[in-house]
Amino acid sequence: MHFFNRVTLQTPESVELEFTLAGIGNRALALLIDYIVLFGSLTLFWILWAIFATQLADLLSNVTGKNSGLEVWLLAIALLINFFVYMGYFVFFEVFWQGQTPGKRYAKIRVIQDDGRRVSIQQATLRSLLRPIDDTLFIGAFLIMLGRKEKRLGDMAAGTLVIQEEYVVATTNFSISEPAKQLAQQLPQMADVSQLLPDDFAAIREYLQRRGGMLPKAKVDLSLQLARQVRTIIALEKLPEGLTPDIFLEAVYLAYQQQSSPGF
Amino acid sequence: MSQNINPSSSLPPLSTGNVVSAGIRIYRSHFKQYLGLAFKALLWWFIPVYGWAKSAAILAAICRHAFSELIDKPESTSNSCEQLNPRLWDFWVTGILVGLINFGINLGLSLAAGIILIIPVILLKVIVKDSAITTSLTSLLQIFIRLITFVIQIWFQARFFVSELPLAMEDNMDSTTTITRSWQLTQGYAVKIQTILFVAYLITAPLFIVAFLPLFFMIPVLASHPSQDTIISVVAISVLVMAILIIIFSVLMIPFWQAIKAVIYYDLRSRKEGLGLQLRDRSI
Repeated sequence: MHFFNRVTLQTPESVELEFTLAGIGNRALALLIDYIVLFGSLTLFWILWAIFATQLADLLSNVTGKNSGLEVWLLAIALLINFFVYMGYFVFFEVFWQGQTPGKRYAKIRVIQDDGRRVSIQQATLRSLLRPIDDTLFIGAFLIMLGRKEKRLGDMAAGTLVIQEEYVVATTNFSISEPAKQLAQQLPQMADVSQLLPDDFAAIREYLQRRGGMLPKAKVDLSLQLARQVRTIIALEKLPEGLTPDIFLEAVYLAYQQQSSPGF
Repeated sequence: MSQNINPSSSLPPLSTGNVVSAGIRIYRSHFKQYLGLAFKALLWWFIPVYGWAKSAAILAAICRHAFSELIDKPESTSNSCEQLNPRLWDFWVTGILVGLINFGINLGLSLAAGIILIIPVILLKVIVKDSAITTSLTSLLQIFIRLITFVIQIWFQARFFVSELPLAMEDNMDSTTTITRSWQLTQGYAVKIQTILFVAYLITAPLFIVAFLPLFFMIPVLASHPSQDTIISVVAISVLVMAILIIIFSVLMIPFWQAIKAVIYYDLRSRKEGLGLQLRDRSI
């Protein structure tokens, strides 16, 4: 079963790219954060504007001695600024942050064109202008949930897609212990590391990356199970003394990496 | 070095938004079965004691089925129900235990809040003689403490959110071990669970806005100064329609929440136990 919609795009250079679409959850989360930021800033703006406007009106009526009707003008200007901030927020960030607003960045999603290119200022504006309509009665939410390409009205009009940032293989964020480094040097002589497939290596790396957040007992069980499987695969007959599954897996990780990229 | 390899067929740890999306996807692809189960659970609920236990087991069966999809070992919904039938009373006891724990927490919280509130109030009365200042300070303090108790309550809500799921998915569990285990699993993830729940509420909000629409139809009728009888009948009809809509939508939402629960449980197990993390099976 596929839990997330995927699309295959063809770039103008005829390169095929596959993306996972953002999904309603990420988009709702991104919108929630953006609206918190946006309405927070707008509230701040209105408070400051109100203080400024009353001061200015007071000053003017003191100088001229009559009510100039300035408040109406100030209100009109404020409404205009309000509108431009609301529209401009999404346009500005989507264009200059490569399709991401603060909310989208947090939710790790971005807007792209239908052909995979960066979103242009016209498209971002169109998306932003249609946003109020999509928000009314949650039309956009229904369209995202039911459509195969998860497009709200703004996306349809502008020809854009919202995708997840591809899962980047993180730079190794785990430390490798000293005994593991030593063992990694000897391992190629003791066993056949080349028997490991890239998938196995990826599983070992996943484990090493995620072990920090695991419950102690589960970690012990899992590392033991993985270590046993790896040991069978690389046909290692004799294990050095005092070796823990974790050190063994770290060593295999290193040895595999060195073998697949000599001179590393 | 090879990039972007998914170590196994199962999903990597999920982001907040993806938990919600996956929950919706599972519900959508088993819409009829899940809705049928939710309706069954609702009907059983009207029968005291045995019905409640049965109802809890059926709801857990929805989670179990959704979980089986997540770990890519799908079972049929009827099979999920059969599996859980023997654990019926365990679910019932689990529900009561969690209820009691929550009751205790709320009792303790309101006691603590009362004590914390009363000391400054007495002090204020003694130090500040002005009663207007005392009243406003007291109400400020009250709001602040309400807020803190609310945060603590929803923190506990998140920690107990998947309390019956270990019992539904794992062997050798009973009503107490399932709570302990869910407590361990949710440790450190209360904020994330609460964010997931909030986003999920947000998505389900449209349905409930629709349910409140009858109230708006009341306004023009009431504005035309009708007689007493008309007012009563209009209000009665609107409230009735609203109640029916809310019940229908709530039943619609039950499987959605159960699916989200299952995805949260799956995600916690994958993060905390490396569920699905294994080398490929070479026996083939």
